[in-house]
Amino acid sequence: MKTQEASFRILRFNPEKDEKSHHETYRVKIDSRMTILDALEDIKHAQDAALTFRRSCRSGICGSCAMRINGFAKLACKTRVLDEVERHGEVLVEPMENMPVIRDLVADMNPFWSEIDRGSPWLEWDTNLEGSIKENLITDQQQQVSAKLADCIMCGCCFSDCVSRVFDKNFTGPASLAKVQRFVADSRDKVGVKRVPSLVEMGLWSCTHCYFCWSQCPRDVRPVTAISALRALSFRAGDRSHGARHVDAFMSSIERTGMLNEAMLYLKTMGWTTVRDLDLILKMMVKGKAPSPFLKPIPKIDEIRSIVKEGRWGKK
Amino acid sequence: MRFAYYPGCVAKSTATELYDSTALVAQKLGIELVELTAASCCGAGVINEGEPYWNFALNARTFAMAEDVGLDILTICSTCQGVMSQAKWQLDSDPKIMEKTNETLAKIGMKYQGKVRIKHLQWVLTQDYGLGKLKEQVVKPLKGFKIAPFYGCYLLRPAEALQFESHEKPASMEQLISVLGGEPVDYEGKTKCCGFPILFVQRGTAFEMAATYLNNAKKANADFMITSCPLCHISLDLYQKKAVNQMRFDIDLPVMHMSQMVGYALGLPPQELGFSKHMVSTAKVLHGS
Amino acid sequence: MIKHDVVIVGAGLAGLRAAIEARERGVDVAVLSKLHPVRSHSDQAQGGINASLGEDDSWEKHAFDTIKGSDYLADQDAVEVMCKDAPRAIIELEHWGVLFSRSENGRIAQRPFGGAGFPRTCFSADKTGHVLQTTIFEQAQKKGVQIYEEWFATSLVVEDNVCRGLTAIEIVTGEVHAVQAKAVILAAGGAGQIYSKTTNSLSTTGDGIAMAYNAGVPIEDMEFVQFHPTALYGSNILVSEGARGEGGYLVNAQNKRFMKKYAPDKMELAPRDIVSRAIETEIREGRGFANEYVHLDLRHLGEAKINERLPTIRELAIYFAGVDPAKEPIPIQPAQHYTMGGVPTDIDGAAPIKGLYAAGECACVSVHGANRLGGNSLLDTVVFGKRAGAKAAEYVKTASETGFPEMVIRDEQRRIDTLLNRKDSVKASEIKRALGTTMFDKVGIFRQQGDLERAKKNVAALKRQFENVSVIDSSRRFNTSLIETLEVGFELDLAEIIVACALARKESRGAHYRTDHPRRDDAKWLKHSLAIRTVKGPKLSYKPVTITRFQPEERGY
Repeated sequence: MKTQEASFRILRFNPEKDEKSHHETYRVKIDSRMTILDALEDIKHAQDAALTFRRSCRSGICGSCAMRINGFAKLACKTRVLDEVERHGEVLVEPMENMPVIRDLVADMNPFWSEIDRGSPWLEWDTNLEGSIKENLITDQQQQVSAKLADCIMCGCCFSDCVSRVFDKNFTGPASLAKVQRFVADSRDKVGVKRVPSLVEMGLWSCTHCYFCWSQCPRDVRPVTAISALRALSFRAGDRSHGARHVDAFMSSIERTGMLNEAMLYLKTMGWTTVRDLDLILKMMVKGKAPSPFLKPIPKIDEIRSIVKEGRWGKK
Repeated sequence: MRFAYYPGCVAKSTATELYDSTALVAQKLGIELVELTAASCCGAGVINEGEPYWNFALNARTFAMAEDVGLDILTICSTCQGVMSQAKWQLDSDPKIMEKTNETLAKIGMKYQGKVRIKHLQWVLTQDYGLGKLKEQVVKPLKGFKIAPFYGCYLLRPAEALQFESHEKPASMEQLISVLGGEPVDYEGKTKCCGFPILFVQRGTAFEMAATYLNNAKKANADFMITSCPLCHISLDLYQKKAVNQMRFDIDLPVMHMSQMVGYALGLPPQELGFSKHMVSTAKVLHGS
Repeated sequence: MIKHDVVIVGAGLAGLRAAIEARERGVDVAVLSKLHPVRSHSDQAQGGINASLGEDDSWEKHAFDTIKGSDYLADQDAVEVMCKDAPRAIIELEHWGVLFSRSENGRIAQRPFGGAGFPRTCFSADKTGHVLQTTIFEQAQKKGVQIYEEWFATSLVVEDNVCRGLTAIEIVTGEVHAVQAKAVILAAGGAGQIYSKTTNSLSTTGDGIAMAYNAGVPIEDMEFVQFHPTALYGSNILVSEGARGEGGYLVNAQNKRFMKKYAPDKMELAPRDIVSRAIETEIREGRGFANEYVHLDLRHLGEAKINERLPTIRELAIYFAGVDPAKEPIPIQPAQHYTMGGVPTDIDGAAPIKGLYAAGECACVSVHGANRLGGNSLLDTVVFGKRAGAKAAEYVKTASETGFPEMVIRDEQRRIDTLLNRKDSVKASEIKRALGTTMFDKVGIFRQQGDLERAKKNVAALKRQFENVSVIDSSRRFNTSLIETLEVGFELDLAEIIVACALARKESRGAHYRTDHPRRDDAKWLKHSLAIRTVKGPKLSYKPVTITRFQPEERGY
């Protein structure tokens, strides 16, 4: 197999002797099949025994080797060096974000685990079944949603790259919410939908739909879809926090006019807090940028109203 | 070139400068826009958190409308593009969802056939129209301008639904900037989130996001920033002062719609491109704007 | 001093099941794990877990298949316990939330597996281990089980033939701790990393077995090392037996389904030792590809079935072998997979030292004898994990505190300091590489006297080299070089045992195949090997096999 040399720039930090973190560069001979993990092992054993990272299964299932590679959190064992070199020129390796660093590429995952724990992440099973010799009857179709979410290997990639989490430490993060939905969608969970109300204070409406959790998840779990599903459940259960009010205003606007009446959307969501933006609103009016609160329905609005009135699919 | 034109809601209310500048640019380049005036809001990723099926049915209706006139859809809002690409991707790959959606559409005499394609103006310019052809039409090259591209989220992720460019190392905005004579600058956050989706929900966090990336662009010596999404524009321009004040940064960075930048380089009269509607003045950067 | 009634080493399926059981019985229990629990090797299991749930199936049939599969070396009373308990264990897991794949009527689906006369392997697509490990960890958390996460156990402390506890390194800080316990349950898994080509994770280094050996516990049946027939060529990542269970074919370079020659009845679903030897023979006799591998063909299953039942395998093949199984056959070769041997226990997980228990792959009950059937290991962990947890809990309720010898912790600290401070000398990674190659080449699928003797010499030489090993990284904080070095030490100890027992056993049985003694010899060798540590190396002795209802017979498939 053809080989070439690649440059690895790795963020190092050992609190025993370093005041702050710094990058160190290594050159590694690579071939088309080598993974980042292969290269790290190579560097550790042949060049620098002090290079520290977690790893175990080297096949993408245990989740140990999550780290940031060229700025994006991934599993080192599932990332090919050549792909990174072709895309970015060099290979920049750093520990995951949103977590403190223990040493080099080893992140302290306690913030991640604490968030997972916030959601009571276990099945609340019916203890009357104890000693029963029969399984719960459930089809593959019925457990489809849970099964996909249960593919999560708790690697931390989504948490690392979650844009909201960077700025909002109260936001419990994608993996934690996905884990809750795994149980909400499981018909065997006695709590089920009752898990949802406590999610609002955990930041259910803080997700900003940046889709990083979708793009970085090595198991294609798509946590953001779980967050949307939980929001829909929360909304239906009567949640009227800011985020839910926004959804409500959105839907009424579409039903009434087919479009977004942005002025009304803003007013309904913000309520009396609109006063904070009075200065901005005035400026917008002056510049001719303020949207009118009076919006005419679009042509063929009846078609839209017919769609909307159908009610929920599968439920009447 | 002809497209079924889907401007989205914001371009027709809070960001009319986007609508106006797009119209002028399209006319200049000979791209005919047949507006789908009866198309509904795309839902912006919000309605599926209220009533998920609306997302499929409303967008499939828009797709069917375009198919009825035999044209692909052109968007000018990244959020519309992202939402519609995702809806289409799911409809096309899940026969059950497609079936249920078409059952709903049948009641209003419509059907989504899965033929239409949906493209953002940014993609059309770099690919369908072509960078080379665009370059030939440049009259006022943006020479000497350092321009910070802000991609945001919906135009890049999830990449499998959008099927256009790498979300890790996108290039379309840089290519556009270069071909118009400008110098693209790199900075931390150009593919991250402007915060708009939580602007009305958790303002402080949204402000911090926007301010952080504006600051990074400024530190990279950008003269101005460009965006392909009017929602990003609201976050980065309309609320810039408030965001920057919260963070106690010192930034005064003009943010333009991508179509305005293109229009300017094509020699269109700046006063017609709607710069006066911006909160952060572009006058010090672009003469006559 | 850290003190608990029961301390469990290992947070995989066996360890956590034992912990849940002990906690349920109101005992003070703690788990030590060198990895976060969800990273444990149990998480990697793919194919499934056996139980005679079917109406036309029975625990007796399951027991027979297991015993025959073991080449009659399994202790039949233990096998009976496991097979009788299997249905209860599976249903319990389902109640706890395991997302088993289902049949159309909503019941737990079962697929055929190697050496089984009935489709009795319950599964979750091809990620059964992941789903089980996740669920057991969730339930352990629900019960509030205390876990010392990223603590590396370095030695088992035994005095006056009574277990006192452990010494362990807190990996983050590097601090060496004494952990006092009335009972210790070893559940630290197998020892695949002794071999260069193994499906096992890099962490599967035989810690539990080696610690027991070093504490004077005789270790059982180590010569029986299972080689899984289908590991991805190159990376040795596991391709589950489930692929064959779903109907996959093994094909040589002549495009023939060669298993017809070796197991005309069961074909691809013969037990693993037979299939591995078949593949190895095909390759050695020139009917392989590039003299290295054969093909596992799944194309005829169709993309839909592959995506439904074997999605992980599809992804692994695409990713790590550059091959899409829906379109091309997968290149595979045998690799080390499972350690049948380990710490000897009775049917309740009790080891020969008071206060010591073991469960899971590191134990040898023995339910797998000379060869393990697919789907029985996951079962073994939950059945005997529960029993060990129960037994240990019962024991500690009446056991008195025994005291922890202070000197031990000082000696251990000194030993580790020496390793950390020794100047650049020989590296553990180099020793490991040499060990792996020797073991795979000379103590592998086909063994013979000459190779085994050379292996014995090589291992002895490597052990001497190891006496001067240098960690090189002298930091205390999260020192993975130190951990890896200590792991290589464990591997060397176990390698010595494997070679000695393989040399001594002059017959072929199950996974232990000697080309110079190709027949099974019940008259002389129907017995378990035991190896006890002495200054001159392992001293061997033997103990009888418990036979209850199935007399040993000729083993053909």
